[in-house]
This record gives sequence, C-alpha cells and structure tokens, in this order.
Amino acid sequence: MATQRRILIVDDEADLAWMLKLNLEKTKAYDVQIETDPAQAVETARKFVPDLILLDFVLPKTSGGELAVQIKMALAPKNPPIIFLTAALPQSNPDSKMRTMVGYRFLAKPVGLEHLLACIAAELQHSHQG
Amino acid sequence: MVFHPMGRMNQFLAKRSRPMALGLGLVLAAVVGIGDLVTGTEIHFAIFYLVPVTLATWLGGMFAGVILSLVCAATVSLVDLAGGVQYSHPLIPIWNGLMMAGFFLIVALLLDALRNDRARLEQAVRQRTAALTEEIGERKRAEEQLRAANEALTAHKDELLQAMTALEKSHLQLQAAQFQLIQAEKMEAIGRLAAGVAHEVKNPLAIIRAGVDYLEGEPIAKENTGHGVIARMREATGRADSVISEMLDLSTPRALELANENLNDLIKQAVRLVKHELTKKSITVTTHLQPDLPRLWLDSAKIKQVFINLFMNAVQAMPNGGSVVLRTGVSEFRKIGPAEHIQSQYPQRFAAEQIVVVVEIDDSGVGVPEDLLPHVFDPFVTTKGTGMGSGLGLTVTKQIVDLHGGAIDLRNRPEGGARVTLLFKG
Repeated sequence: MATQRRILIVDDEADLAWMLKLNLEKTKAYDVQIETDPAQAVETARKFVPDLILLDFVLPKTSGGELAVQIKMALAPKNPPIIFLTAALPQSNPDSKMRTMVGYRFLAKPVGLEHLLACIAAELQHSHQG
Repeated sequence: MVFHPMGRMNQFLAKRSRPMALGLGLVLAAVVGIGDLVTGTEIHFAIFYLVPVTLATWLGGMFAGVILSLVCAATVSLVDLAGGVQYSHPLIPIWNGLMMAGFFLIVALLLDALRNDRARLEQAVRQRTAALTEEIGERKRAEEQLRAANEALTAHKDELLQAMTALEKSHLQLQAAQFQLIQAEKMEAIGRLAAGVAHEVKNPLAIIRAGVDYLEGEPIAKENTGHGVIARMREATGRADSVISEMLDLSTPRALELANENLNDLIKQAVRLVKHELTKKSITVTTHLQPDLPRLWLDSAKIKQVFINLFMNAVQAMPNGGSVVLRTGVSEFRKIGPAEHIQSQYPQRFAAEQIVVVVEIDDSGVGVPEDLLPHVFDPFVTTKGTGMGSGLGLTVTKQIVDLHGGAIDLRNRPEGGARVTLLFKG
C-alpha cells in the first residue's frame, strides 16, 4: 500500500470537518487531521505538514484567503495545494469560474464525496508534477 | 354685380335730368305748337303734345311732367285762339284748355307712377341681387371655413390618435420599466438574503451530504430499505442545495455592461464617493484631468469600483495622511513610462503606436516592498493586518481592467510612494 497522503481540514463547522475526515479516511488513502479553530490553523499546519489543505473560505475573525497565505508562508518552501470549501457560492460550476478568477480551486458546499475525492486527487497529482 | 345699362342711364338722368328734361320738353312743345299753328285749326294735332309731356315726365319726373302738361295745354289753347276759332261762349277755350291740361296731367301722373314703380322694382331687384350675391359669397366663405375646419379636425383627430398611441406605448414602456425595476430590486433583495442564508443552510446540508456519503459504504446501504432511505436523503439534499444555488446565482455579478463613457466623469464620481474617507484620513486629492479625452466603452459601475479600490489602497498606504495626485491624458503607447514592463505583462495587447488613454494615480505613502511588487495583483496578497481587507481588492481591480482590454501597472516612485498606471485603448 502506498504511503498515505496527509490532508488538513480547516473548518469551524466541527461536525462537517469530522464527517469529511470519516469519509476521506474510509478510502484508506489519506491521513486526515482537522482543525476547527482558525487561530490554531497555522500552528497545526506547521506541526502536521499536510500534502493538501481543505480550507473553509468563510471563517470567523479571518478569511480563508488570508489564512491560505499565512499557511503557505509557514510551510514554505513546501507548497501544498489548497482547496477552498465555500458555502457562499452557487453550485453551478463554481469550480471553473472561481479558479480562473483567483487561481485557486473552490468547491461549493455541500460537495459530494466523489467530486471531492476527484478534486483532491487532481490537486495532489498537479502539485506532485509541479 | 350684374351689369345693368338701363339702371346706369336712369341714375345718370336722375341726377341732372330735371332742367334738361324741362328744356327738351319746352323746345319740343314749341316745335309741336308751331306745327299745330301751321297746320291750322281744322287738323287735330293735340296727340303730338304727348311727346314732350311723356318725354319730360320720363326723363324729369313728376315736376317736369306737370310743367309740360300745363305748358302744352296752354299752347293748344293759344294756337286755337291764334288760328281764329270762333267760340259760342268766351269761357269755352278756357274749358278746352283745362280739359287738355287734365288729359296731359293724367298721362304724366300715370307715366310717373309707372316710372317710379319701375325704379322701385329695379331697386328691389338690385338689392335682392346684391343680397343674393352677398349671401352666395357668405355661403361660399362659410363652406370654405367649414371645409378648413373639417380638415383641421381630421388632422387634429389624426394627431390625437397618434398622441394617444404614443401615450399608450409610453405607458406600456413605463409599466415594463417599473416591472423591471421591481424585479431588479427583488432580485437584489433575494441575492442579499441568499448570500446570508446560503452560508447557514449550506453547512448543515454539507454535513448531511457527507453523512449520506459515509452511510453509502456501510452494510445498511446493502439492505433494501436502507438503500432507499439513503437515496431519498441524497435526493433531498440535492434539491435543497439547488434551490439555494439558484438564489445565489441571482446575486453573482453579470457580464460587463459597456457604454460610451467619459472617463473623467467616472473619476470625478469615484473621487466624490471616497472624498469623506480621504478627508477623515487627512489625505488631499489633486486631479489633473485632460479635457476632451476620447470617449471609451466602459462599464461605469465597475470602472468606478476600480478607482474606489485604488483610492482605498492609497488610503491604507498612508495611515498618517498624505496626498493623492491623479492625472489623465492621451499618449502613444510607446511614450508612456512603464511601456516596456506592461508589454511584457500583456504581450501583443498594445502596438507601439497605439493611442492610449492613460490614468496615473500617485500616492505619498510607504510604497510596496520590492519583493511583493510582482505579486501585488495576486489574490490574498496584502500588506495589511489580519481583518483589514480580503486581499482581493487589487485582484478584482486588475480583473476589471483586463476585461476592458486595458492594462494596469503598479510601481514605486523614486521620490517615494507608489504610482498606479491604467491604460485604455483610445
């Protein structure tokens, strides 16, 4: 069995984070850690050193965008891909629309497991190649 | 007016005929008297005296007729006496004279009555003719007026119909516009509501969806009932999500709404909008707007957003106050300062001789750290502290400028502060 890739989920919705962790771990392909306190996210990332980060875009006191820059700076030179999860986008093809706008992959909540897994795989492969 | 020769002659005679008629009558009476005297008493001549009497009466009127009747009667009597007629009684010649006078007078009176009657008749006919002519003229004029009025009325009716049609049309347009306005307001309200509701509803939906995905792999999903329950839950979350997504779709920005705009005006409007904020932060704004800039195809709301974003950026770069200087102008692309750099950022967007409208915004702030300069337009890059901004302001600004086919450049000025250069194809 190949080594598990490490995924950090940052979302203040603890139930959602836990449920996503369950689903991702069920695939046996990922080692998942969750962080529900955005203030701790940078520290957690530094310790956990994830291969990919699932980041809620709308967070209390900060924004997913700012947090993304901070985490990336903390983890440099490692540059793990970040997938934003957002409840503020319509479902209709938000992925391609937002990606062209700011260069990040955005997934609109609620995201189906199949789609989520596909996006994670794509980002990991992309970052691996890069 | 009908031509009336007799009427004319009568009028002419009536004016100066009395002396003339009298003169002519007396001459004729004298001629007839001489003729009577010459022919002797045996031949009756009295009838010829009617010629001067009738002539004088017809031409001179009643007075001349009476004079001539008396003169002629006297002449007849005198001729008889001169002719030596013997009377059995001395009063007989007087009697005969009176008889003749009576006879002449009756003729004169009848003739005069006839003449007057005729004159009255002619007068009446003239008056009637004039009245009729007048009436015909009046009727013609009235008809003309009626016809003109009718025409005016018809034209007026057409105009009224046209005006009514136009009114109906504008009423419909107004109704449509009002409807659109109400719709737009509704949409905006729905959009605002949706953005708020979406976050609260989509998170629980995401949890349910993740739960459904989890159960999918569990033994319960293999059972008939369990499978049905999971399928229905999945379908229900999908339905709820699509409703919220549709509401959110309404609030997402649409495509550019381009119009032929005066860039200077949009800048002035943007300055007005941020003036208060700038004054509060002790920042002065100076604008040097070149008049007669070529008009550009711009989305006014988005371009104003660009300038507001840039001003707010400048504000945040000058926490202790300072100045913003804005210039507009027209130039060839190759003559502007950062042409080379822009050429590398936007390959082939501008030809060297391309005429461009240039906007320069200088601030007296701290400038941008050199290592951050290449990334200022990247998302989430910010020099501000946490919570000060999204880090998307310049990204959105560049996106808007790019959508307009323009270019944006940000660099530090040697004398301190930063300069933003905007280019639009003129």
